[in-house]
Amino acid sequence: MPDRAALRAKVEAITTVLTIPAVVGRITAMISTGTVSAAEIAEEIGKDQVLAARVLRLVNSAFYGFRQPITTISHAMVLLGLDVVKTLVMTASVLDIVDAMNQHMAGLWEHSLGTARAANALAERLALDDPEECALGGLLHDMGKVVIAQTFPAEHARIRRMVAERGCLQIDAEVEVLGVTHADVGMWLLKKWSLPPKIVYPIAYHSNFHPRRDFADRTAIVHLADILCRAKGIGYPGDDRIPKLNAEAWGLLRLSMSDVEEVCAQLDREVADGLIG
Amino acid sequence: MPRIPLSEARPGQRLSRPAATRAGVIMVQAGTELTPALIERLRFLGIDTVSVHGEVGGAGRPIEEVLAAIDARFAGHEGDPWMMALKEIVVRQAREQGQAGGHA
Repeated sequence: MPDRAALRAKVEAITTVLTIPAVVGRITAMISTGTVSAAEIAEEIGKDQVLAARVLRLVNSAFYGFRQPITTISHAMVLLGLDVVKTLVMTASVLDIVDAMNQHMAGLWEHSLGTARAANALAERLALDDPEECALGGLLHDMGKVVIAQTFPAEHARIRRMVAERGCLQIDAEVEVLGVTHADVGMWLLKKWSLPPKIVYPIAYHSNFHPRRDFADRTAIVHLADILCRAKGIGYPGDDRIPKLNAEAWGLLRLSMSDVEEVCAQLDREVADGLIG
Repeated sequence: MPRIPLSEARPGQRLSRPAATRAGVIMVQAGTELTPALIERLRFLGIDTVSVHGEVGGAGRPIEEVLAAIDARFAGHEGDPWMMALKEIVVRQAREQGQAGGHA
């Protein structure tokens, strides 16, 4: 089995190997000074048209659908907040996540979108402050699967074979082949980009919930949203199974089964409307 | 329902979802029948996948098949009351959709 530190170094190197647009460095510097306005940052992102287009594609797919297309970064910044847009910019700058998901695992993009929509619906139901940040967690919770496919192709092929042969969860095959999970890999990248824990934790721990960890409510939401999408058969997360619900995560959210039923019905409507997929 | 690469789209197929650009702007509404000229225009706009009506995926699948897939997904959770309650919801919604005209 590969060494964990070596794996991590290779994942972190993605950021430096692929060309990170200079704009990302400038934005990071601008944000760290703390004196710039959202409009100035939006203007800076807008200078890189390819990057801006990728970000807007994610924004329009995952957060507002086709109902209310967002056509400028500054509009996205107002609606979603700086941390969500910054995360999307960092992610979009290293990989075109929609193309990468479609290429490596047909259906993973639809699963990610569905999980984003479910997380958003759950967060709104619980009246959390930042449903968009929960939706972001849903959207990117499986980003590590694409990173594994791209960075460790031989191991990815072994993982896929194992899932096909045993009918197990992809995450169990990841542990057996790599010794780490897609959640670890996603966390490494997000931490390398210095994103705040409120963004990183729900993605890092969506399949390994602990009630005393910070941002447990958001993590529980992404965990449940993933399960609901799998139960509804929306997209394809890499296997045909459903992981067991974490009882502590469920207890923390204080939802009822009728809440679950309504969120599932909302997912059906969004699939029918073409918002997911 | 199946989402297919535009290169595999054939004239005569009908869009099951709107065809949109990467920025999410709808170019062609759901229900539109694909023609050779329309496929060419979508390609020109950089749209690389479309959703069409067909037998793969949820829509149009016989309800028995949908229910069998749900059974398979929930296999191993029979002793878990919460998971069984979720399964009941999913089965009920699948049946309702089957009656509403086959759209999953």
